[in-house]
Amino acid sequence: MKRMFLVLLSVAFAIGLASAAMAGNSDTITVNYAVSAINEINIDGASVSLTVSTTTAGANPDQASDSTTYDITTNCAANAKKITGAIGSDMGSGLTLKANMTAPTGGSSAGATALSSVAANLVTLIDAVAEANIALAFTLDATAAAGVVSSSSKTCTLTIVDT
Amino acid sequence: MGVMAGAAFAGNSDTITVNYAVSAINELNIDGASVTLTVNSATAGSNPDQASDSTTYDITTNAGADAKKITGAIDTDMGSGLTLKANMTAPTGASSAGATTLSSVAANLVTLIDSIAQANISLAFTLDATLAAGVVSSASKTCTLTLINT
Repeated sequence: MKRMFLVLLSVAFAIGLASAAMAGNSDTITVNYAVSAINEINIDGASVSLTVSTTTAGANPDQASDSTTYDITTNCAANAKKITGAIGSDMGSGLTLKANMTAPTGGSSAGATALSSVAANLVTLIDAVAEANIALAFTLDATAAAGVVSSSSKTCTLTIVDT
Repeated sequence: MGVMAGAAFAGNSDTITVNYAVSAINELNIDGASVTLTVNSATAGSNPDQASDSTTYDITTNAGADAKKITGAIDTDMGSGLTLKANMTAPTGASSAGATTLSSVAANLVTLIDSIAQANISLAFTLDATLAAGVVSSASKTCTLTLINT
């Protein structure tokens, strides 16, 4: 009986020690973390307006132009992204709409590029960057054969995609 | 004769010496087992947004005025472009260091701790990532908070 009592006492003492070891002057917490792929583009203007209205006699009408700016943030690897541009439907005959995006630092601009319903590369070789207010220009060329075109609009979509 | 002497010492009262002590008590408990920080958004043209998560902690110490502080450390340093910070609200009477970067070297998070028993005090973590950090798949660090002498 005495021996059993001593055994039980030892067990109780061991449990007490274990509890004391778990509590104490320090504690830990697991900090889980991750960084997701981030690819954000914003066109600062809601619209641009292009009206071909002048010419020099004997030449095709003068090009119309308007511009806005865009902002971009991406945490991609070097040269991993590009920006494409497309409009909802092709321009009418004799009309050429172009976009010219200045590249963010480290990227490469394709210069003035005709827009159609098929996405075209406007900026390539984009690195990780966060840059705002980068120039984005649009131009409209009309041949004489295009004639008079009443007010119309196209929705231009710029997209950051993998190179 | 011997029996008579014993009877003389015994009587209707007696004394006993009561030995007592209070040991140093320093207990710190983090209520949450983990926090999760995911940087996954940005405003175009700006750096990625800071991620944050929080839990609470409990503390009991009988150390005396301004005698203790809490330090924090993680098991290994964060990767390049990643900054993990902890911001512990101080228990009553103490002083918080505010949002403090964590590394493998212990940093002071709360100082000038008095004797106190207080539960559910705010403990916040934040993660900042530069663009150069790129995409970081899920990982974890073990953060250890320790109550030590000032």
